[in-house]
Amino acid sequence: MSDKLFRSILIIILIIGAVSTAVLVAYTYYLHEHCSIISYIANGG
Amino acid sequence: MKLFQQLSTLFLLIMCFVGFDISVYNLFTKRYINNTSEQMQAKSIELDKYLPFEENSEVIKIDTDFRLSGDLPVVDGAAALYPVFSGFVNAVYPKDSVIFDGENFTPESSLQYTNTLRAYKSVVDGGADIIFCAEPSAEQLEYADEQGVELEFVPIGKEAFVFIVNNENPVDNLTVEQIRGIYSGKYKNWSQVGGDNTIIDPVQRIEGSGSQSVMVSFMDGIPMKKNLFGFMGRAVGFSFRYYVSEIVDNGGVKMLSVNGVYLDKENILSGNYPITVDFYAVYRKDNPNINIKLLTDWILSDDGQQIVEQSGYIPYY
Repeated sequence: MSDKLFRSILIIILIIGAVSTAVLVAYTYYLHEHCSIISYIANGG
Repeated sequence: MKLFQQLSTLFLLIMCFVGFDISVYNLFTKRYINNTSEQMQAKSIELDKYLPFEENSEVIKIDTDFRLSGDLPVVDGAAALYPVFSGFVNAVYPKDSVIFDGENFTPESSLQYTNTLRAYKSVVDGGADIIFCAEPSAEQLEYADEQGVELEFVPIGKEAFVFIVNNENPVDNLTVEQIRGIYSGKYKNWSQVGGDNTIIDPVQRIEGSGSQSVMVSFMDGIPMKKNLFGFMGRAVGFSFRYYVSEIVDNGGVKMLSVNGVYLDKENILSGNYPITVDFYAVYRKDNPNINIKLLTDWILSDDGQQIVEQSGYIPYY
């Protein structure tokens, strides 16, 4: 694999990884703001 | 060899992201997923389940000779008490006084539901004439003071204040001292109160909600603390008995006995269960609507108290 191709794939993985983590964190924060105590405890909290 | 190193690097990077995301999901995300219906999530209660004047509604229906007419008081209140005040409306209000658009009550409706947080503001501002709630928070009383409004509190029933844990938590009982100790930060691990070696996550509700105000009173001046690492352990929370057992009815949680007293109606009625609270009809002292007094008098009559009792609460007499 050429270095150029390797770097391109690396950057793509980094971007996808960062975006997916950011979406997950934002979604978690949204759920945190809307979750009831009862649901939180029932879910294993 | 170079290709192997490159592929290994890419694979490791992908695994790092996947591992991190799975950890975030397992530690946080999945705990916050609401496992109640969409309407429950939006309103804390399914309004149409206890809608007055509807044939298939679960609202308590009784026969009474008393009827309100003329200037009908607008009623509002707490989620946990919605089945009760909807029952009052069903019994004594004219049928055309309630307008439900499928999601909520219209502004013209004499029955409203905005929950404790907004109901106290609404009765002070004049949006509601009479609200049904647990005791107010210090901020809610302060707001009334700031507006120069005096509120009248008429106790109309009692309810048990309960503590809940996950069904899989081996703890079934806590003492009042242990509960106060958990919420003050004295006890941080379930093993200190008869459970397994797991961190305690003492969860609270938002300021101004009915159960949070009762909890503040229950703590009797002891400041409540949150556990920073609570998300890694097992939670304990609080609510009202009827709200947990009948309205939400979530099979994933259980109510704890307190001081060894099992939580059932007999123990609540006899006073053996140590934490019961009054709930009130609340209105402005300067509200000139004569129907308010007529309504509260009727609520304290046998007929009105029958609705309180049949809705699952403890009558005041």
